[in-house]
Amino acid sequence: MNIGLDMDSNSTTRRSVLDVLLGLGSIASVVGAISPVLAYLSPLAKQVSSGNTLEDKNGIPVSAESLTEGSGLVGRLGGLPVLAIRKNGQILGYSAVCTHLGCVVRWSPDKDRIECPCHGGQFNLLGAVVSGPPPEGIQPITLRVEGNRILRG
Amino acid sequence: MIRRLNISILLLLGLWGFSCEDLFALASLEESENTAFTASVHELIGCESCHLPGKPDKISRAVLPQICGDCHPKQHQEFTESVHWSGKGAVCIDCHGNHDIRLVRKPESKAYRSLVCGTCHLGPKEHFDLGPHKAGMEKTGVLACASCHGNHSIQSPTLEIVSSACAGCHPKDTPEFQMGQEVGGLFTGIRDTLSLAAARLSDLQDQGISIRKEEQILEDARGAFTRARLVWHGLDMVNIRAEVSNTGETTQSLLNAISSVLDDRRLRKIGLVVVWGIILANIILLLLKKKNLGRS
Amino acid sequence: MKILTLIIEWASDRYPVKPAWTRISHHVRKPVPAHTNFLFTLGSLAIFLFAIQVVTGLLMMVYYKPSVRDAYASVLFITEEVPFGWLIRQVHTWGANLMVLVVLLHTLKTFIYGGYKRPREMTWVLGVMLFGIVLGFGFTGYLLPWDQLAFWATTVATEAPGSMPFAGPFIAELMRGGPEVGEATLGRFFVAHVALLPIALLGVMALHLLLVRLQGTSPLERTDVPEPTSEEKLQAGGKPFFPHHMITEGIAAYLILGILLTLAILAPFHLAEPANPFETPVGIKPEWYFLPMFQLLKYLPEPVAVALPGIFGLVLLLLPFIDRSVERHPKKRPVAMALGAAVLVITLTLGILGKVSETNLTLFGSDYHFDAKGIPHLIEKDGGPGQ
Repeated sequence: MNIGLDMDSNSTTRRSVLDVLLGLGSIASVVGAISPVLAYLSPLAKQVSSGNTLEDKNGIPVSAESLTEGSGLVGRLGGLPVLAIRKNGQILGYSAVCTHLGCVVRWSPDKDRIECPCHGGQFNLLGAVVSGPPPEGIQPITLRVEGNRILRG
Repeated sequence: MIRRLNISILLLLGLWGFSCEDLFALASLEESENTAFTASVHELIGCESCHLPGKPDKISRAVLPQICGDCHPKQHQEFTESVHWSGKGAVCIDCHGNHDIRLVRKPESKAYRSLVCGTCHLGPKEHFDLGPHKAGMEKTGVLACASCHGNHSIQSPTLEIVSSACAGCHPKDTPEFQMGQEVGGLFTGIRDTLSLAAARLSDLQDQGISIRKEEQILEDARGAFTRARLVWHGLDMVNIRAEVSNTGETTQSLLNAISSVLDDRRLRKIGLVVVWGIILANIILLLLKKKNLGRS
Repeated sequence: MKILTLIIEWASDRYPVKPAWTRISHHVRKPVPAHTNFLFTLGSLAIFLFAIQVVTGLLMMVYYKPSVRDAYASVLFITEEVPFGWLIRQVHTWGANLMVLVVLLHTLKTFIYGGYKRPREMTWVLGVMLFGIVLGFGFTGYLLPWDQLAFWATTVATEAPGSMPFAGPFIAELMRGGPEVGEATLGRFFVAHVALLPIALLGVMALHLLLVRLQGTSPLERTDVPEPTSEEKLQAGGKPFFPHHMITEGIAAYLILGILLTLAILAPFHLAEPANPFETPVGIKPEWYFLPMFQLLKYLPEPVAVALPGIFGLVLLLLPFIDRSVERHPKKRPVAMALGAAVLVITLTLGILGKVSETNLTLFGSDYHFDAKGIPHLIEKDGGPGQ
């Protein structure tokens, strides 16, 4: 594509300049068409969950009484899975997302461990890894009871 | 005329000790109601003054004000000017009772001191009972609700009507009067802003713009305003300020939403102009290209 | 560009790339007849609009939920929450209307220029099928927002075939998936709209285009005369399809894009109230392209009024076999032109009657109420409704 000033054949130069402009015009059209499409497909602004209460999957606050001694359950706190375990009357909390590949962990009362069903990773009550492939421990979360609800402490 | 004659006859008959059971073969009152009737102010006019001959049973609510009004024309006239008129609201018996009507200034009267309004208007009553007006008005024995709202010719409680009522009891230099003025000012503010917002929303709708979400905000704002007007009756400045501020915020968010709708529309039109610019430029370039091809 | 050359060389070693390219290039540069004007861009406009419908349709499918419970809310979500969702939806809705219009005009052009005659009979037949498919798109797509307009227009439209003898009720139930419009209807209309009809359209369109490219645009000469060769066409002033006619098509495409976006932004469609099976709104009507047929139902007994458009469709489909006259030029076919004009006028009149029926209009200073048959009745100034 020759866009230099070729004085010998003006029509050729004009045609080349025109071609360049046409190319630019087409690019402008394409960009103009694609931009709204990309905006449309982009992830939407995440709904901020005012999450300080541990909820079940339907958004109903978990009843503190239902968490009996020695048992655990996974609920939603601030939109994220959180494991709550009742031990010696206290409620202990942890991020329930396994640090290996993202599965949701569960409390195993028989083994007295937090375990991950995907690849057998195990954590103790401090959240530290004691067995299996997870590269690091799960984050403990302070929880407290208010009324019959379990809240972020 | 005939009714007045009837009443006179009945008065005479009544003086001779005739009761409703004697005079009316058909539908008659129960024992307790009959006792109440004989203790009421209408004892001497008997049954047929209101329950016309030939129509002895219940009087329909639509017709009742006229019946009472035959003897109480002034009150009837005032009532027809009120918002309770047209049979949808309260009629005479709802406030005064029916067979047990007593003199209004007596505590036995259903309408004593107009506190009866609270039977239907529960919101205002709830707040009124918590406020200083309840005890204060009781002490001085003045009418409660009717002091500000009137009785028979009740209108929709606008700020104008209610504000002018304060001076009836509170002299202008008193802190009470000043408080009333302040509250009145606050309410005027939010009411006017709310009307403005509603009018602008209605304009948008006339232009054919979809205002679904904004209408919901308007409903919220109206709800907040209603709550503010209920809270008013308790005369608690903290509560009143809180509700007024809440109404103000909701109305402001409505105004913001309306602005943002208009901004969006303007932005889209600008976008359209830009798009046409690109389109026309491309068309011109293509036409030039075609002409150029023709030359070669 | 070096990498492009490399790829072409690599492919040429394995596949007949260069001969194919030469063949296509030669073919595409063949001239169109000299009489080719802007009307001859309508076909490619239809393809362009279809492409837009596919893109906007796919985008909406990301968020649309085809169930009675969620459909309306999902459309609201697209228009109110998703960035540019409103634009995608408006372009799709207006695009549908424009597509029907463009296909209509394209059919009209072909009729006027005698392009349906020998040897292009099958092209025409495929074209009428395409028109039917496009109407099918409009019909099925209209239900998807599940608002009052959608629900009741579909109810009326599925009742109509039900009045036909024998197979009528069966066809109506097949369309609806049950005795009335509901979840089953939405399900099958959705599948038809996003899968079955697109496959059908692409297939028929491919054949239609193939035939057009194989035979070229029809000349204006009689059918019993050999068609002009490429040299003759060039001599007569015909321009190469590529690049000349394609540039014209490009200009037309840009124009229709501008019109589409203008309509989408300045005259948006609004969702009506959510569908309520227990309350029919007053004056429910289908979209403009079904209006003439709908209005006909009000004048003739039902089986006749439903059969008539069917018969008309059949005549249209078989036109090349019914009209075998050798002339193509419109000036040499007065009867055909008159019949065509008559059909147009009748359809237009029915459409206008349909539009004004059951509405009030003020004409020349007086108020009129148009009844269901489109007959105006003067509203008295005193004591009339709304006074």
